[in-house]
Amino acid sequence: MDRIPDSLDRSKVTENLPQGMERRLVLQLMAYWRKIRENQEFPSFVDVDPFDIPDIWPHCFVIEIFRDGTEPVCRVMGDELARYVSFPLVDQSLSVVPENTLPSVALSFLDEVLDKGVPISRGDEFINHDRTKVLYRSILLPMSDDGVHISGIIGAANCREVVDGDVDRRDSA
Amino acid sequence: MISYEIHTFRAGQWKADSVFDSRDIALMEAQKIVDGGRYSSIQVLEETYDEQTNKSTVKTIFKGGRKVDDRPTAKSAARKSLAPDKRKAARPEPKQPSRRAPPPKKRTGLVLPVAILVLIAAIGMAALIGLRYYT
Repeated sequence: MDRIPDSLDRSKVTENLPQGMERRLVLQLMAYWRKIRENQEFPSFVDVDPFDIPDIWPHCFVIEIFRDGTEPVCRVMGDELARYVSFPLVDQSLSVVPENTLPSVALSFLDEVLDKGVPISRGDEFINHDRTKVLYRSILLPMSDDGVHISGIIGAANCREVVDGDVDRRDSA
Repeated sequence: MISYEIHTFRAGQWKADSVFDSRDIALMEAQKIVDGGRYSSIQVLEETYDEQTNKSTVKTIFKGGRKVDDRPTAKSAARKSLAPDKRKAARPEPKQPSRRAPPPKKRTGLVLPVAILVLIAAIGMAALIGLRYYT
């Protein structure tokens, strides 16, 4: 990798680098979901192998959905997401996820995914606890153990903080 | 609010495949689906929702796949819905008329020439016999 010239404006570098990476994260997980789904309506968690997606697994999470209406529970939280919360979220219901954190905003459209039964990706911004504007993008993909009913969600999310003077581009998140 | 929905044509109908809020990402994913060749047709719909009027407008911003015109039109939908009944009413026993028609035509076509040949042969034989007795 070539050394970045000192004369180059570093704000432009940080502005350009995350865009492609964040898009690839969403589309990588999307491609993996399509691959393990094959000809079924939804893929099964049995077919998910973190070793197949080592680059994006730290940004992934798994939510268990209960048919009896019980609140969904987080079963897996990647390390890159877990560091945005001060306590472990694994085996915790979604109601305890703190607001204005990446896990919280990443799951904000969970009901829409359950309603439509298709993968949905959204990006937006939020103000985190230290009053920094953060751009994020996440994707939620429905999973099923019986091939008919949605029994869980696999998702991924990443974000970047908006530096002063940076251009606000939601597509970049 | 604008959203982009990818629809794929499967089992004879359009079905929602995925939803994005980014046009670029939706188009990238749509192109990947086209390149995969799994579906005969896909399209990307841009839906604009106006919260003030509570109305949505939808337009197609991308079409791809092997057959672009698999989208059901009003004519094809009407044809599909009426076809079974029309088939039952118009052709209750389609095979019977076709079986009866050819044989009679073949019989009338062969009978006359054969009869003529037989007649000619009979006349010829009679002439030979007559000549034998009279000569």
